[in-house]
Amino acid sequence: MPREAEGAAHAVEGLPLNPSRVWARYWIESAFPLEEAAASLAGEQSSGTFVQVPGETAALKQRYGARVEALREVETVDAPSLPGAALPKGIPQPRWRRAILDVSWPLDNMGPSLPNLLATVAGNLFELRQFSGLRLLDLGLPAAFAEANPGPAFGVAGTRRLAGVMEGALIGTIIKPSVGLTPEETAALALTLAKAGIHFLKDDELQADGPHCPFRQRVDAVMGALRAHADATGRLPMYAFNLTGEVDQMRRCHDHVLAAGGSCVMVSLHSVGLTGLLALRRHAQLPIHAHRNGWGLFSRSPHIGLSYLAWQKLWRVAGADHMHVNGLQNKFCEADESVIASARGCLRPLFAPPLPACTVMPVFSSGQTVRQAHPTYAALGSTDLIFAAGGGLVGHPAGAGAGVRAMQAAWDAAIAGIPLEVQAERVPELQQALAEFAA
Amino acid sequence: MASAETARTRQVAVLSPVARRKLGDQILEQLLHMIESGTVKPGDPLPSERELMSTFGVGRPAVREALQALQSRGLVAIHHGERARVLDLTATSMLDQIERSARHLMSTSPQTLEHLKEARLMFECAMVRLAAAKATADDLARLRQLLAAQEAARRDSQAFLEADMALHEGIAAISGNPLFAAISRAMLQWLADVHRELVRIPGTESVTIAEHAEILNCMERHSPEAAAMAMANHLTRVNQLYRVRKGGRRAPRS
Repeated sequence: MPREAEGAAHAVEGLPLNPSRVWARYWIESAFPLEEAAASLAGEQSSGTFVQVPGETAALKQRYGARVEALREVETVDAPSLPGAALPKGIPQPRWRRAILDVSWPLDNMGPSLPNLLATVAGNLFELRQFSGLRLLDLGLPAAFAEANPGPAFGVAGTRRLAGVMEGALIGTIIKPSVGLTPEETAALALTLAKAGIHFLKDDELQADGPHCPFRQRVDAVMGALRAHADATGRLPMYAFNLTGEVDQMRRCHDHVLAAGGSCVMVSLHSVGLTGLLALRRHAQLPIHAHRNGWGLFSRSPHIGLSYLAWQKLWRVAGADHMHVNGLQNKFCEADESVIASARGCLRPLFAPPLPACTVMPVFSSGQTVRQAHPTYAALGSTDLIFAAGGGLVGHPAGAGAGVRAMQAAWDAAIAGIPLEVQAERVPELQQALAEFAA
Repeated sequence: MASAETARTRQVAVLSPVARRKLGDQILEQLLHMIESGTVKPGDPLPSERELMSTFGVGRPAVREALQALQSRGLVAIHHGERARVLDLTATSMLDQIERSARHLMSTSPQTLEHLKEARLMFECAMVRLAAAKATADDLARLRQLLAAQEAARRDSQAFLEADMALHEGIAAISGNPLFAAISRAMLQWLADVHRELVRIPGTESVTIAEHAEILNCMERHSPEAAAMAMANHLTRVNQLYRVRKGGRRAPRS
């Protein structure tokens, strides 16, 4: 079964990088001879269709046809994983074989265009009857993509600079309740968190520009409070305002945040698509916090969809600065190894020097508490991350401020190699958090 | 014996008396010329202090000043009671000479530290590209041994660092250019000098080992671009660990 982490093992290493071809690696399952199934995929996603047409000459196929580069069988199973797959004729007891398949396309087919790359590597192929399972595991993009697309403008270094946090994890939170607070109530909560030393705040993805908490009023109220705090203390936390909407509206919202002295905007990737993100990025002067809600559609079933490792590459090339990766021991269904593979993916250069690495800040969230600092740091080997705990921080029994102090103490301990329990003896807020958020 | 005597006479013959000020500097210049022109070769002794005093027509302090300057440049070794001996310079010993200055610069100038990280990233990616294309089976087996040694040194931070330098140096050495190998070692040394304890972070050694293993895997496939990506991945992670610390855990707001 291609759980995400196993997919990662196939994906991270070794996808060839070719200056003139796009490479994609898939996990496939088929009752047909694998070579035949692979060839049908390559044909469908390039020059072929269901019948031979007159224009599809040998020369055209040679030049523009997708190529099966490698095919490695992994195992055989007794039943198809997905509904709707066809069976080869005349086989009384079919078996379904699983394999890792590499396919490549000439860059000339689509050019360095992300929306059209998506239609090529993750288009109609999911519907091919020859397959009872098909999942995109990884992508190898030619340098032309780095040259034609903006990539992250801020990434790790720019985010640290704007947040004023040059080392250690960025401790963050999500305004909760997700919806229902007025702009003034949102600002009051943001101020409490700022006073406790929070580095990063964000709107919930359900909070955008609804009538009960309009975007502009929220920005004005929050930035009024945060700027007053910054004037007094010299510390301005980064607040990611959710401006998800239509393109022109997003541009106006961005300008409003910029004018109000804000330092980040947030967008739901699944809602705005690659074109929406590219448009925002080409306009933006602030880091873009990319929310992955909707992601489960691609990942819940291990038998179809896209691996996060492949998916995040598209958004990084387009220009996201922060990418959500879920969190260890999260409230959702994703396994820990998969989360770490995703986070490592975000910090892994997309292109080798001198091309831009396009590395982005992984954002850990979903059911995060003080208990996840140690395992997250040990597994990632890096503090280049935003650790966004909503309920696990705002829900501290002694208040949100204590929640921030407890979380900072947990991360300090993780980095210094001090066990959590030992640190808790020194920091009462951490002790309380451990009691509240049981393992 | 006689020929050594003749040689020494010849050495002394190329020297001439100097006039008035900055005596030490003028002597140094002439001694440097002797060494650079090959009149004295690595391993050869320089003339004795007494010979130099009489040749230059100066007192002992000026001669000593010049000899000490040569010593601090790493060009000669002076052992008590013996004549100064010309050292065999290599790329490595040359770079060792500037380690102290580098350490000082890196720990006082965060910007220079950033420049060093960037330089190392570019350099090591170029090295591994070259190495992935050129590596023989023997080269690769040697790198595997170095990686195994690093894995065995997990619990000993100094040995872990030594093994780390040996591996990066080993990759650079495949180029066939000793200067590359020396630069690779020196750049990691300078970084490590900034924060010794940071080279080994409790619990994350396995990440370093896994990243090194991936680099070698790519080299074994003779895939230069993949190897460069793997190297960039490794160094991008490691680079964020080297920061100049000022007291507290967090650097002041810029």
